Amino acid sequence: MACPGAVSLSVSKAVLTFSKSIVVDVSETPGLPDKIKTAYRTGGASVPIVILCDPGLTQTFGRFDHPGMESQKYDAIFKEAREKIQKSLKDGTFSKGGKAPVVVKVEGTKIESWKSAAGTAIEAKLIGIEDDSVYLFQTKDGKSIRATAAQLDKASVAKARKLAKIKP
Amino acid sequence: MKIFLVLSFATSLAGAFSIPKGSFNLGQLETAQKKAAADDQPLAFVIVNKNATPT
Repeated sequence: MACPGAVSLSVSKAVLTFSKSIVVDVSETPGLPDKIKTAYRTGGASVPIVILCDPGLTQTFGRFDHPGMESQKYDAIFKEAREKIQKSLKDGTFSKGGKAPVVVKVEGTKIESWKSAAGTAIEAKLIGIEDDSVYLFQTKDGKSIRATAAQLDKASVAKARKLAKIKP
Repeated sequence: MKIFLVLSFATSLAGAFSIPKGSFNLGQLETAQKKAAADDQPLAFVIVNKNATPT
């Protein structure tokens, strides 16, 4: 019997062989795209949970939780999902995205201190909020930083939304 | 006693879950989408407890 930690490690490496993997901590799940959030909330809650979808986030090809991956035989576990992916690529339903994100631009802001949920601080100016969920910053030296609400502390999220004139 | 100390140290070094090289985090979703689209690959959202220690 493999523990969740061991399965998390092995599956996060296994999916890299056929996909682009986004590793998300359970505390960050409120920041997931809606379709993935719905899939996450549907079914068993034992992490690790793997959700396969197309880059355009229009369809999911499979959802797997810890009990289903405990054997760690990933060739067999992901076989059906990988077949669905190939079929989708063939029949042209595999969405590659392309929908422009909706960015609320924030102008005239100054460099100030922002805090992460972990308590670390960055000095940057808020330049926008993308799709109501990703906060865009620019540091003094022009470096871009993207952070989800889950990655920022509550006070910083509230301050950013106030600056962008978006409902809290 | 020495063995116990060595084991404790090794366990603490093992630490929490570490993200494999090549993976993205949620803030890099857009980049991951673009790369997946360019390579005709799906996205895999791997939801984990990053504080879990593999045993």
